[in-house]
Amino acid sequence: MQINFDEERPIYIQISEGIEDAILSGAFPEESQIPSITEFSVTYRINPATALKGINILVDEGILYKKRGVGMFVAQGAAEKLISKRKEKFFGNYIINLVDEAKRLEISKDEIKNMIERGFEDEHRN
Amino acid sequence: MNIKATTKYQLREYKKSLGSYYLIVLLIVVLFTVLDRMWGSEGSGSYNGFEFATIIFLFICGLNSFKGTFLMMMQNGISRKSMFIGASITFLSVSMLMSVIDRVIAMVVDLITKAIGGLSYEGFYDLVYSHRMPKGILFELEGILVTCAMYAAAVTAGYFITTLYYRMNKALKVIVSVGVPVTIIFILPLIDSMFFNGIIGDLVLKLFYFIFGDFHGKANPYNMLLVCIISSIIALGLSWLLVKRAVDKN
Amino acid sequence: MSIEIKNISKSFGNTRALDNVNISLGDKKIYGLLGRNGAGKTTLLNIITNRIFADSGEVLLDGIPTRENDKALQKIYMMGEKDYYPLTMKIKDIFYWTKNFYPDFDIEYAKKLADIFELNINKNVKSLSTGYNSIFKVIIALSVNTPYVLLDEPVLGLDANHRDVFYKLLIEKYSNSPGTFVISTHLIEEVSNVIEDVIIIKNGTIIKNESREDLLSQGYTISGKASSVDSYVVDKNVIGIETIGGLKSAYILGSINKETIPADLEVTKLDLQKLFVQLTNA
Repeated sequence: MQINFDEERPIYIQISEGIEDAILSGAFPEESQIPSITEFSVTYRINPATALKGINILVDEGILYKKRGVGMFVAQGAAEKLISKRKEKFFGNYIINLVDEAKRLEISKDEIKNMIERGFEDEHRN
Repeated sequence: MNIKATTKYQLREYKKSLGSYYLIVLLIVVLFTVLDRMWGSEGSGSYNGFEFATIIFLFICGLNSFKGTFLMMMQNGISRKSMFIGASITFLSVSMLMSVIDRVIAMVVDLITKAIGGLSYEGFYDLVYSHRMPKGILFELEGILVTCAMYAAAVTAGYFITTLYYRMNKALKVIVSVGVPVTIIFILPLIDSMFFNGIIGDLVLKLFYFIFGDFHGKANPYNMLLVCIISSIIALGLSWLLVKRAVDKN
Repeated sequence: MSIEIKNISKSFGNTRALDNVNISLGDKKIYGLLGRNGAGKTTLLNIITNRIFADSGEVLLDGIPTRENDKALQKIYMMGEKDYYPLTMKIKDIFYWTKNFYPDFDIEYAKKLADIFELNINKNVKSLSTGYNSIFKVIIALSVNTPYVLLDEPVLGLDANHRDVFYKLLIEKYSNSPGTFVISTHLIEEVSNVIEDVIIIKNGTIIKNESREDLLSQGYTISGKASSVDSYVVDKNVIGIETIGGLKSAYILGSINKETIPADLEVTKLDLQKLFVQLTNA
């Protein structure tokens, strides 16, 4: 799992999103154990309290669960939950903004659809 | 617990110096004996008084006993009080140890020189107080007791001076360094003769006689003992007042 | 279980080094004691550890004054910038004596750390470079196992690799056996992710004392075209502004109302380093 911390968002958010990414990519499969708080904090040189806070967000959302005395595990159905959560976010972050900006630029719905088609077809896009 | 730890540390500082010191003493004894054998004094020569060297040695040790130890104790969570108690225990133990060693040296060297002839050696105590009683256990014990008190007075005097200097700022250090000798050598005699008709000088001389006798072989070692004990107590007492409020100047 | 610093004031001549300082250190947290050079960080730590005396106020450790108290002092280890160890003493002998004074000191662990840092423990203090002079004290601090460890400028003279190793070992130590660590430094960027609570000291006065998260969430940075930023910040509590060409960044204290932010301005979180610089500027 790789996190490149940026300056914009709090570290604990970046930790929890990093774990989400790892679950989505299959690096942390469901029912597998994730690294401990100590491993997270030592690896990323962050305060254990920060790592704990990031992990607790996912525990609260039911993405991770604790096994007493063993550690943290990825919950059954975590990936699915994350995908729907991210889809919600995707809509909020991108679609709303997209539509707002389109209205400002007077781009029609069909034009947008064409643009999206083009985006999917463009092979050279990263 | 902590007094034990700090005493152990402070004794360590003396271990090394003591080793080197007695190595030099040993070398001198050997050197004198060899030289004597080579040139031959035919039993008429004598040397004496390592105890005076020990007194100077301990005075210098006392001078070196504060600053380094203080910083080390501050680093290691030892209070000034524990450090000071540790220092006092150290001074007493070292004085006792060295007075025993020096007496033993005096006896052993005396025995050796008697056995092989040549130079004779007399310890300080033999030199000054041998009129009191025939040599024997009591005499040796008394000797150890009195030299021990002298050593304690030397090391505590050194300690007092070094703590005093530690507490003073630069200007004060210069004033004291120059002022005290000048006062003792020039000003005090002047004031004495001008205003007190030499009473101060008389008192100093009387104290001197009190300690060493009046050179007619009547010196009383217990006078020396008394003066050394009082001097040690005063030096330690003043040192404590200085150590108590000493702060890290790093 | 805490160190309580109560109404501590200290002057050196006419300079007021500490002015009525009140803080509490404990809860097995890692604290950042942040201040510019001469702000009073070392003075405060020296008073806590009985190295110098406060003019007024007192320091309590678990309720007992630390002043001239061995029992309390034995629970604190402070590594400082200056030399307190005899210059001619070998590091391995320093380890030996540290064990004498702090019975929980783990000599084996210290030797292991010396290997990691490639410190030759047969050398004496005098022969160490500035970096290694810090390193041997850092090693003791990480091996001493006292409930309170105070680190005064711990990474002084350390190169980037050794600094990284230090932070890693510190977090490892802290995770495995939590204790209260206080890192006093003016190099904020490196410690900002490591510390949990922030104490900012300026001219002998504590100006901030709270968790890093809370502190950073009290404000935000807004950046964009200078004119837009200027009009946005009119009614805001601006603690600092940086300008690069026509672009401007403003550091603002207060909560964000996302709706009122113009589309051409970008919002980011405050970062500790910048916040610190703004707060401690004369």
